[in-house]
Order: sequence, then structure tokens, then C-alpha cells
Amino acid sequence: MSTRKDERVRIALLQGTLDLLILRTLLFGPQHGQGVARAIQQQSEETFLVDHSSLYPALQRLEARGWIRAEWGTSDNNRKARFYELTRTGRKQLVAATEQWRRLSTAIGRILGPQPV
Amino acid sequence: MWRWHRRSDADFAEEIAANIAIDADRQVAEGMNPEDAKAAALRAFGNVTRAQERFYESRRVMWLDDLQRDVRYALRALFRSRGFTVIAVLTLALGIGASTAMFSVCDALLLRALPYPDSDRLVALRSTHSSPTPDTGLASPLDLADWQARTTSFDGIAGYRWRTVDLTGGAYSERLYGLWATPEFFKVFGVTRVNGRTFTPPDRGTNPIVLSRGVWERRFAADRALIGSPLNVNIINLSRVGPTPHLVLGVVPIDVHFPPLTADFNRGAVNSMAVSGVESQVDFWLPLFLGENPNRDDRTLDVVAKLRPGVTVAQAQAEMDVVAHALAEAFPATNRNWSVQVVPLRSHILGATRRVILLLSLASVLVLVIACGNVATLLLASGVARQPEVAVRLALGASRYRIARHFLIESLLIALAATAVGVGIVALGIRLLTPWFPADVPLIQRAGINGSVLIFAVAVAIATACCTGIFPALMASGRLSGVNLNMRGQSAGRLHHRAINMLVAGQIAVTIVLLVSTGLLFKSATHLLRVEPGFMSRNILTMTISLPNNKFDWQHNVLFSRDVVNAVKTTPVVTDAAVIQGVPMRPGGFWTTFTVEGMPPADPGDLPVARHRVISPDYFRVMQIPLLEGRNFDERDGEGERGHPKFVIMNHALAARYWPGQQAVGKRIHAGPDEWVTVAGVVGDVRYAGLGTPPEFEIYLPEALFPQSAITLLVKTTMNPLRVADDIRSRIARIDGEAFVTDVRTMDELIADSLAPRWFPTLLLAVCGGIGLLLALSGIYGIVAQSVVQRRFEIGIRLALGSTPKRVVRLMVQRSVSPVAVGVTVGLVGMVATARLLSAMLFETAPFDPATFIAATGLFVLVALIAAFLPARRATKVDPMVALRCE
Repeated sequence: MSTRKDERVRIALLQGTLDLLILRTLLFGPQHGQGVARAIQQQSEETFLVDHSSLYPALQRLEARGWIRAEWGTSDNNRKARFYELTRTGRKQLVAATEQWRRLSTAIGRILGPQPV
Repeated sequence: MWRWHRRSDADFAEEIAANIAIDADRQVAEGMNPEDAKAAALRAFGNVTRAQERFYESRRVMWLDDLQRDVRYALRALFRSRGFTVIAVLTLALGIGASTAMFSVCDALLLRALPYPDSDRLVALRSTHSSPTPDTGLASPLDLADWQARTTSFDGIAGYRWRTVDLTGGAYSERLYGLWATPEFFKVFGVTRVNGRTFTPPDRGTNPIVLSRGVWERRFAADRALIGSPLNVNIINLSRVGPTPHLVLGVVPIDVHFPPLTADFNRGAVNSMAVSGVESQVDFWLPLFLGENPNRDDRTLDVVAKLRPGVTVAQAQAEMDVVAHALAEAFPATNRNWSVQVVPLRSHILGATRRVILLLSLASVLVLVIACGNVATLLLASGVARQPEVAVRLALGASRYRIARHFLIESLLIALAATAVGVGIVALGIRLLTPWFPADVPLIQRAGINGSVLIFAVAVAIATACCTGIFPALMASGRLSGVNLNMRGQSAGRLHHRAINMLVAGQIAVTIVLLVSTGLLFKSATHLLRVEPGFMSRNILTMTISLPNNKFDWQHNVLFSRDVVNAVKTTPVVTDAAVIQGVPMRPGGFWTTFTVEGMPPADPGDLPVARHRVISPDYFRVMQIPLLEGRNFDERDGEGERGHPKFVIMNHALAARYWPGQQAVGKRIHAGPDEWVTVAGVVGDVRYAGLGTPPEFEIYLPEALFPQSAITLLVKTTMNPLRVADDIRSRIARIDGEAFVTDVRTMDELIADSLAPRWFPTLLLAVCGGIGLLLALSGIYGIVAQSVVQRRFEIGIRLALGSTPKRVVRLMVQRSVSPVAVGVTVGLVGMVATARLLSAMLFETAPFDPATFIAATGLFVLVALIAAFLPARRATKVDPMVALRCE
């Protein structure tokens, strides 16, 4: 993933973060790979650009872990596409991971102190 | 929690395509035209191929995948150059086959346990005298009793002797082969399962017998009622005739192999059983209770003991030395100068065979080394030829490691294929050759392909692959810059040349060692053949005839023997017949101590020893043994008490030793029973123990006073003796239908049998030498041929400038001089080391015999020159214009 603004500076985010975002995106219903990438891009207000070299491995990881499941279906444009859907365990994982992330960011926020610095 | 998801690459490719299409649709919806949209979508996606590669890699074990691919590729490459592959596989198969075969023999003889429980704790206790009298290793019963009482190193000491008994009555008579054994036998040899029981001290004085599974099932249909009931057994009993009832104490329900029986009459019998295919299992046991024989110098028993756990052979030997010394002090008359050797049972059984096996193993390893050298040379050469292919692969991004690995895998595949072929040949060979194995070699029948042999073969294959493949792999991958790609195409660099030179020199060195060794053994064997046995062996048929034990009295035995001889003599084509006790040219016989009248008195333990043989008067005539002094046996010698002759005949060695330069006839000796006997005649020496052994002292006794129930019949015929055999058998059956006729061999066959232990290893070594020679010669041929090809341009120029073909040829041959010279030198040096190993096996040949060394080396150099000359000749066929143009 990279941010658009600082092209030369790539923020290396942990794998688990991308997994979390994907699970979150799928909370609203099944989506195909392109759709997930666009959703993350839009919802983060263009902060995150998901390139496919990280997206598809992440999707395969999540699928192998059983947190999402995949099926071939038709998109709105009548294109054939592979749709991913959250499973029950995936839902549980989403809740747990979200909780963990919020705790993490709160802790970091405390250390960094209130803005501005 | 991981779910193994078998998703195919095609599926993922479809997903990628679908996603790109969706993105393109979106772009089109935003106003782009379709082609631009597609291009933009592709650009946005990134590297499709990379994504597919990552997907592919994510779900596999990559090194396994690479390996599969390498193997497939290697197989294709090998299949493409079929000729090269076939030659490499066959060459290596020779080497691997030879070493696997030898390992199989080593496994059967040296590695696998003997067929007794805890066999590594079994040792033989051999009684030896300080003077070099015939070394039988036998012990006397009283000595054995003392050893049992005085030692603590052993769990049990057993003594035993070979015996036969006959079971008469019933549907047919049967001769059983078994042992007279002390009660400890069963404990020492681990025979624990018994239906019923074995001997115990209270059985002393009764007549018990223990039978084995074979007899029980064969003759008594495994009838349990037999145990505990009496059985009529014909056993040799000099005081009365007829069977003796024995109480069957128990039956051993498993097969027990005969323990080793040393060089006396026993071993000859066991050998003859092996030759005639009789199973060497013990049929019965009779009890031997120590103390019944009061003569301490009556040494008749083989002794095997089981070491206590934790006691080493050295410790046991030390204890036996002390005990032997104590007995020598306590009984100087019989035991002075006698000591005891503690020998591990396996060494005791194998004897001299161990050295032969080691020699042959070394030879087979050498053949393997030569074969590896050849294949390595081939691989190096092929590596040079494949440089363009390697260069392309390097350019496309292959790592050097990958390329080297590929070449190694090729070598591994060749080695594995060679192993399959080699093992197949060995299995076939064993099946074909088993009847030809010298029956003398103990335990050889166990040799075959089994688990450990296969594991060995595969291990050798892997080692071979590494050795042959590593150098070419490194060179081909360019790590060692052995190749120059230059304008004239590929030419091998200096390192390459040196590598090949070294390999060929190594092969030559090894071949020289094999050839010279073969030459030495061959010379030794031919010397042996030229030894005079002391008699004429042509057209003499031998067979062993025995009547059921104790069925008749001794008078009958005398008459039987005479009747047989007379009946046989009337057979057409038979010119003469005679009888002897004990088969000539087989190890074994009966020994007796003797005293010569007028000799200084000596202790019974130090008396000289002679073999005694009972013969019929015609014996010397049939064998054409010259009568040197005095007379042959005649009717006079038939008069008198049984076992008490008045006259004996001795051989020249004995007469010359004790009456040098005098007439031996009329002198008196004291042998066996209590009175003096007179020498009636002296005959020529006969090498009864085999051509390699010098003649021993022999005393001949007249048959009339020593009737035997088992005799060896010698029949001299005018033509091929074996054709008469059936006729003679029927004649004997007419005299007594129950007589056993066994072991029908011609005298020439017996001599050949005795020589087989020498010829067989010589033959095998010659085969190894031949293979090595062939491979080394092909190596020489190869390097000269390669040199010719590479230097075509240079040759063309030389010829164009006026050089004669002869000089060009000489130039090419020179290429082979350096490896041949180095190889021969190293080989001769190596031979110095090996000669010592050989020296024990040579007969009348010095290990550094210059004639053999020169002959073998000269032969090799000559053949090597020819091998170099042939391809060199092709150099002259080079058309100078063609050579110049191909620049």
C-alpha cells in the first residue's frame, strides 16, 4: 500500500492491518477484488492505494484461514467476477482485530501526546 | 487454522482478467474509450505476471517444485543424448554391480550374525601345541572338564563330535548325521525350545537321545508320543551287533546348523554333505559325559564356549593362558607345551577365507573407482559440448547454483539407473552362479540381494553421483573457468585438460594394481597345478559306501568290503578297484601319535603325529603310488587279532625323517595299541591334504584287521568313470540292499574341488582386472580422440606445411604419454602396498616377482599405445583444406 501524497515515502503497514481493512470492507456485503480495493481507497479518502501485489496475497491468506469465502458471480456490469464474503469466524476475527487496533492506537496516542507537536 | 485450498492457477488468472475488465468498465463509464480504458486498467493493476508468479509460489514448496522441474529437464537432456547416457549407465553399472556383489558376500560372511543366538559371544577354544604338528585344535574330555571347573569367563563350555547313527526298520533305513555333545551344548548354542528335555547329569549311564525337527517330522510325522519312549538306533558299538534302544528325551522343534567341525574326519564329512546337497542341520544329539575317557591326551573334541556378558576375548584369553599353564604344570606328561587359543567363532569358521574376501572387496572398490573416473571424463566432455546451452541459460537469468544443481541431478539419475541395472545383473548372476560357488566357502549360500545390500547400492549410487558429478557440474556452470569460448568454437581450457589427465592417470594406476595382482595370483595358481600329487588321478571313480551302523559284526564288514571290490572288478571297463578309509584330497582323516624304536623318550603330549589310513592291498596299484622299499600288504596281514597288526606301511616322508639314509623296512614303531609293529614297506608321498600342503606322515594299515563299516571305494576305469557309476551302484545293491552309497566323484573332480578355493578368487580378480583394463583403455582412447578433434586446425596447418602423417600421429599419441606414465608409476607404487596383502595367498611366488610386474606393466603399455594409436590415425585423414576452412 502506498499513500498518494508522499510518493517517495512508502509507509510499510503490517500485513495484519490490510487484512483488517479488507474484513471491514466486506462487512457490508460480498465484493470482488477490484471492489474491495476501490472501497478502501475511497473510504480512506485516497490515503491508501491498494496495489494488487499486496491485495491478492492478502485475500488468499484470509481465504486459507477461513475468514472469508469466495464464489464466482456476476458483477453489476454483467461481468464474471470472484466475489468474497465474510464468514462467521471472519466476523469474530473482525471484532477482535478492531478491538486490538483501537487499543493500540489509543496507547500510541497517549505516548505521542495531544497535537500539535 | 489453515485450510489447504487447491485453487488452480487458471482460476486465479481468470480472477485477474475479470478484475481488470471491471476496472476497464469503470474507466469507460467515466468517459475513456475502451482501448485506452483497457490499457489504463492493466497499468493500474501492475505486473500481472508477477501477481501470478506470487500466487503460484504462495501455495507450493518451491524447492520441491524446482527439483521436480530439474529432474524432468535432466531426464529430457539425458534422453536426447541417448548414446552418451547408455554408455555412462552401463559403465557405472559395472562398477556398482561389482561392489554390490562383493558387499552381498561380505554381508553374508562377515556382517550378518551367525545362525545362533548371541553369536557374537561365541568363541572357539582351540588346543595348540608349540611345535608345528598338524593343528587340529581339538581338546581332550578331561581338559575340557578342567576348563569348565577352573574358568569364570564363560557362561558355558560345550564339547562335541560328529557322529552318525542309522535308523533301520520301518519303510526304509535312514542315516542320520548328528553330534555327540556335552549337556552344555544347548545352552551355549542357544537351543532353548525343546519338547521334552535335554541331557542332565543324572542321565549318565543310560542311553538317551535328543532328536531334531527334521527327523521328527520326516520319519515320525511329528508324533508327540515319541517323546519319552524308546527308539531303536543303530550306533557303532564294537562289543555287540544290532540296534540299541535309546530313550528319546526330547525333540528340538527348530533347525540347528552344524557348529564348526575342525580339520579332522568330521569336516571332510560335512564338506561332502555340502557338496551332495544334504542339509547341514543336526539330526540328533547323543550325550557326552566328561570323565568317561581317562586319557588326557586323547584329543578328539571341538570346543565352543559362550562368553559371559561383558567379558572380552582378550580377557578370556588371559584366563585360559593361566589355566593352560596350570594344567601343563599339573600334568606335564600330556599337557606340557600345550596352550589354548580363544578365537571368535566367526574367524574360526571363516579362516583364510576372510583374507580372500577382503582382497576381492578391495578389487571391486577399485573397479568402481575406475568406472567413476570414466563417467566423470564423459561428463566433463559433455559439459564442454553443452556450453552454448549453459550460456543461454545464464543469460536468461539462471543462477550458477541452479545450473550446477542441474548437472548434479543428471549424474544422480545416471547413477540411480546404473544401480538398477547393476543390482539386476548381480541378482541374475547370483542365481546363475550359485551352483558354481566353491562349496568350501562357509556360509556363502546366504549371499543374496536383501535390504541392507539394496541400501548399500543406493548409498554407493549417491556417493558415485557426487564424485563423478561435482567436478563437471562446477566446471560447466562456469564457477571453475575451464572453458574458453573463442573463435574456434569451444576448446577445453587448461584446467579441463588437467582434470581429465588426472582422471585417466588414476584409472590407469588402479588398473595396473589389478593387473599385477591378477598376474601374481594366476602364476601362483599355475604353480599349484604343476605340483605332483604323488599318484595318477586319471579315470578313477570314488564313492563312499557304508553299511548301517552296527548291523553286522566286523567279520561281515571285512567280507562285505571284499565282495564289493570283487563285484566291481568284474564290471566291464573296470581295470582295478581298491578301498581306502577317508576320501583323498578332502581335509580330514584320523591321526595317531607314534613312537619310533630308538627315539629319545618323550612325553605323551609331545609325541609326533601321523595320519593313519586303512587300505586294501590293491590301493597302491590303483593309485599308482610307487613302492619304494619292501612289500605291499598281502594275506599274511589278514591274520591276527582285529586292531592289532604286525606290519604297517609308511610313506617316504616319515621314513626319511626318522631313518634318514637307511632302510626303513624292518624297523619298529609303536602306534596306537600297545605293541610294536614292524615296517613292511615304504611308498611314495601323496599330497592328501591338497596340492598346496606338503606331504604329512602317513601310516597305512591293512584292511583285513581294521574293518570299516564306511569305506571309500576307488575304481579305475578305462574310460569316463562317471558312466560306470550306475552299474556299480546296482552291483553294490545286489550285495547288500541297505548299503548307503554317497558322494560319487571322480578323482580329477576331487583335485579340482581342492583347487577351487584358489581358482575362484583368481578368476574373480581377473574379471575385475579385465573390466578395469577395458575402462582405462577407453579413457585413453577418449582423450586422444578428443585431442584430435580439438586440434584439427593445427593438424591441418602442419599437414599443409609438409609434415608427414607419421609425425602427426606421433604428436597425437604424445597426448596420452603423460597420463600413462603418471598412472603406471602411481600404480606400481600402489602395488607395493597391495603385495603384502597378497603374499599370504601366493604359492611359491614372491609377492614382488619381477617377471609378473614387468609382464603386466608391459602388456598394459602395449595395449595403451594401441588405444592411443587408433584415434591418432584419424588425424592423418584430416584434409588440410577443410581444416583451414573451418576456421
